[in-house]
Amino acid sequence: MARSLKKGPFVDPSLQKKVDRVAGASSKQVIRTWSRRSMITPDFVGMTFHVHNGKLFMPVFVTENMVGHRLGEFAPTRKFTGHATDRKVKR
Amino acid sequence: MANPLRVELGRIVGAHALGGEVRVRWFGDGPDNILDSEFVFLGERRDDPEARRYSVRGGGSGRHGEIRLRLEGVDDRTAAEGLRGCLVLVDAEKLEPLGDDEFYWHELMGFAVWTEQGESVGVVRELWNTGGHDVLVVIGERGQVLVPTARAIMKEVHRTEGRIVIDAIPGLLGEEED
Repeated sequence: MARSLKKGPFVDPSLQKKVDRVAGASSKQVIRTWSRRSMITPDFVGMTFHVHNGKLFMPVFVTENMVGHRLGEFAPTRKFTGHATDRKVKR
Repeated sequence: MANPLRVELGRIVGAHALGGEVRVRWFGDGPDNILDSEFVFLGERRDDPEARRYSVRGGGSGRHGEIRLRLEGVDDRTAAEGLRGCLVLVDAEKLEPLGDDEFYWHELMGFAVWTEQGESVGVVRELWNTGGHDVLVVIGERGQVLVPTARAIMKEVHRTEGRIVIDAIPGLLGEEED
């Protein structure tokens, strides 16, 4: 069941505080967080987070199409060691 | 700089039916590069000097994540089973060329990573798929550093020099606690 719109998106207060601080300073500081459950809101766009995956902090650069998703979706908790294949990277 | 002659695109995981077809589990974004190849090399590793060349006579869809491949000279199930475990390699230059902002994973492996200030970060050892931007795993004097492949961070990629220039925003290289 979807979260009620009335409540608005959930963002951990501690994370929101860090985001507000970085946004206010107009700096590009990486924000370190354990809050995987926090939803990505439009004011996160363009920021870089270090999201804990249980072992290490995964860097997540937030773009517009990530809005509405949770931070944890972009910091996998399992590592797949693949091959150097024809997989592509797009900047 | 890593500029491999061959790239592994899949692994033979078994034989299909009795006619010599092999089952190939592909690694990358899809099996197109294998199916479009005129020939492939089968070896134990990417730089295997004893990798054998086989012409591709045909192929088709298989189980989930697999394709069936018919190779020249592999005409029965026994021969196909003998190839189980081999990596399927193709020449890197045979892969379709990409745009300026696109790179194959194998191209970036071994690239040196520098900051815009001219500080060396290390060498790309792996890439991880995270659901967002892929992440470069850079090993250097600082240990392991993870760098997202977003344009805002990965500013420049010099293919010929094997060099990546990143914007080392505060905290990215792990030196600052938040």
